[in-house]
Amino acid sequence: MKDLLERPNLFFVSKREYFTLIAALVVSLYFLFNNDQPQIDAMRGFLVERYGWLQQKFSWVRKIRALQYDDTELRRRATQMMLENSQLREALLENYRLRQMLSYREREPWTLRAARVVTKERDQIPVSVTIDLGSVDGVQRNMPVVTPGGLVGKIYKVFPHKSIVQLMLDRNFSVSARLQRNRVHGIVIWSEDSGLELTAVPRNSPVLIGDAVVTSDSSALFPAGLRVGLVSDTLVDKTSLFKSIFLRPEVEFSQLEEVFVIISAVGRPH
Amino acid sequence: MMALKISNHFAAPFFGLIKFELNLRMRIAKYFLMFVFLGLLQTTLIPLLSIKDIYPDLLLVGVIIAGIRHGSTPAILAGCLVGFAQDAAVTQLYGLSALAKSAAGFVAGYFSREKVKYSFQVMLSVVAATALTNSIVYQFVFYFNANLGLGLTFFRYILPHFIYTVIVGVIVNAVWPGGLWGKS
Repeated sequence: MKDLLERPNLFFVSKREYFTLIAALVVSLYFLFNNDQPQIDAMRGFLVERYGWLQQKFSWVRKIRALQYDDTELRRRATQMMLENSQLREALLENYRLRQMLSYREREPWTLRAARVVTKERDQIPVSVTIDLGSVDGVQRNMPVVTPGGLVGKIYKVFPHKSIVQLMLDRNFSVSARLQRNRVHGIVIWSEDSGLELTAVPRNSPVLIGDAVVTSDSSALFPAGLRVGLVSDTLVDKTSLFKSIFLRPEVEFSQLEEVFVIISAVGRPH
Repeated sequence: MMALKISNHFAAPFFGLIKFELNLRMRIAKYFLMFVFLGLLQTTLIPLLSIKDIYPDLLLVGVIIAGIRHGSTPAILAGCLVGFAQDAAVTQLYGLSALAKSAAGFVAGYFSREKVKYSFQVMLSVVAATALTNSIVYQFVFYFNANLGLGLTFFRYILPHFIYTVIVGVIVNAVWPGGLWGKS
């Protein structure tokens, strides 16, 4: 009898890991196949409650990552908004410029062709730009190029679909001009030392700071009345017969984006 | 009286397993605290280490420690209980982690320190075998109805979990007091 009672003991003890495994698997499978049982739901609810409480207590650790993510996300969105804002601002400015050009085109009696500046020099003082109009668009050499701000330059080289514009800031450029107020004539040139200058003006000519300078009737290339710039300073050299008149152009040469080519001016067809 | 004596004799091995002696109580308390600590790490820090939704399983490392140091039976029980606790929080299939961790606990205990002498390779093999068992059971059942195919399930889910858990197991072995093996 004693042997009978001892033997199962030994058997269970020696194989207890297998029995434990089987028991654990059976219990797990039972729960697995009875997920919808209300008792299991209740037990699970109990565990979830405790787990949730624990999670809440230690949620600050996870929040660190969430904050990092939020920070990154906010930075990304701020950058995106900034870019969008920048694009909208660009569109607004372009719209403003185009409106100005449109009104300018309607106001002026010349035949104008709008052109977009496709390349420009990155130098501080650009001397030429390339526009997207060429000979197929009716553009010819020496045609004036303007913006609502005034004279920009002239067509220097013409290709079928592109043209190079020589800007007023090129030292080889010159244009016959006059003071709009009193019709005093001179020649506008550019030099690296003094910038845009109205030369050949007699020293006794009355010139005021802020006087407008426009192209004169005697210009062979440019129609009369194109704004060249405003007088910014004058200098009288006692040894010279002429007065130095410095001009401030009203065209922002470094920010040229759209220009007009004057295809034909009244009484001055090209 | 005789019947009671007979039942005691039959039941003695099972009751003996859960007989709370002082050191046993201490050990259970120690393991309880260890699993609470690992559970906290699992729910707070481990998500920060996730790579494409693949997490290492720290609780499984706890089961491995129990298996290596105390054999299969405590590891199976620990795996089953920890698995149920984990299932409550992380899966819709209640009992799945318990199933996988019970099997894993058996594997870990099969190579307990009483049977196998410690070396790094042995430790690595035990961690790998346990992690692989856990991953296979868990992921295959979890993705059984997903029609992913065996290959995709293996390479997309089983293998990454397995590798990540092995890496973490090796790290824990290096930093845990006494390593996974403990004092012999």
